[in-house]
Amino acid sequence: MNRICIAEDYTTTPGARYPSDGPYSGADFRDTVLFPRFEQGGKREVVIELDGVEGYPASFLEEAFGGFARTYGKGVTKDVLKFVSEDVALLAEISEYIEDA
Amino acid sequence: MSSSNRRDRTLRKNRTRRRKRLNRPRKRKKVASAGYRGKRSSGKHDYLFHTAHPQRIVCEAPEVLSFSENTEETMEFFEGLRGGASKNRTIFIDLRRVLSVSVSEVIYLLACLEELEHQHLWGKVTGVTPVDPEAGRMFKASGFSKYVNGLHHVDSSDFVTVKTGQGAENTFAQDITRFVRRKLGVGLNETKGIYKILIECMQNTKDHAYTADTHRLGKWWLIAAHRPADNTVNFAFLDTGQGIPETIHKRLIRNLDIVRDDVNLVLSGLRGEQRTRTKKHNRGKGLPQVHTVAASGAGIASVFIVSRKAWVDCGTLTGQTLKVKFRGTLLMWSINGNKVAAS
Repeated sequence: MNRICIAEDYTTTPGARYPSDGPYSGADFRDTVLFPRFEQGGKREVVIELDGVEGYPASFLEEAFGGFARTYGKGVTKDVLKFVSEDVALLAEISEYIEDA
Repeated sequence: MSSSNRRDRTLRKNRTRRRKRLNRPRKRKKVASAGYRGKRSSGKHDYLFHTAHPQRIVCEAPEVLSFSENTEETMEFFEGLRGGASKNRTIFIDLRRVLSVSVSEVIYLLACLEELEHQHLWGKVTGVTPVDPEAGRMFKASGFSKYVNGLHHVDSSDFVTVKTGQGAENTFAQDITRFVRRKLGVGLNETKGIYKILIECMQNTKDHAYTADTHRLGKWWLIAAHRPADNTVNFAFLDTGQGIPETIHKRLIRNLDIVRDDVNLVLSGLRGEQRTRTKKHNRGKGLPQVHTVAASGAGIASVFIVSRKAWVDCGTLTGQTLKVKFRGTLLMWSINGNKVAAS
């Protein structure tokens, strides 16, 4: 199973939307971690562990996962990206961004 | 040129030649003391009164220098400081009377001074810090002293000293959340809302606060302080850009919507009713997230936005119109450690 732990594999301080806004942006995470792992895993399910970071700005989440949905489609995104977190509100927020993408 | 003007010019030239020939110093006009208006000359023009030295403007701060507790006087003080600045003036900032001041006023004063310097609008600025020890400590320990000459910095573990930047500075935001966890004894989950708000504020400043024609410094200021008396950490985030109402107002004009006052413009942004300047449907999440965090409770005592003439409570989505315009956007909030423990 393809698993990404953001706190261990990427950063504990997620940033803003684009690389031009600052380090560890949502676009950077999507392009350097999420897309490659998805492709290398044969476009199969990817489990994303969200806990252990300082927090997720809305812009980061929207660009990372909403951007993923804009590339591969909402249906594929909902099927392949599985989110794990103790924060129920965070999971709902991500679902909203994928739905509105 | 009329004949009378020609005659005047000739007379002046002759006087100058005669004076130089006789090697006499030029007579200086009488200078008037401050407040003396002088008589009108018998000619066509009034006298121009100059003091013998550059004008000195004294900006005296009120005892309660606080946007939240003494809004009008505080705003008038800062407006007087900005309005009095000019290349030929010395500005004396008198903070001696101040008994109560918070981090918001400290960074706003700092921002004012930096902006004036950036625009070359001051001849000389001097001042004196508060006599009251607690109020004086606010300036000396907050990092304010690092930006002005002659004021000694005092180390204090109750402050995260002033930080500035132009984009998202993740490490600064992390410094703040770590400070909160250390001071209030709370966990990572309790500070996630703070981190989110800070990063969004930093990004919003970069994307929206400054335009090409604002000619401002283009940066933000951030500060935090712990108040042991009531176990509260107070934050302030500031930019001196065009203000949230102006940003949203421009979108309304583009959409040919009705014109609203500043309070309603900010409220609409917090509700997520307006698309951002980027015109993309997936944008505009920052301000609504501020409202979400503020309304969640979890120990956050209050979150206020002050921008142009709007004073808005981000949790309850209520606001009031200010008499004096605030230049820029100030986000003030506090988190109470006792309330966090109880929740």
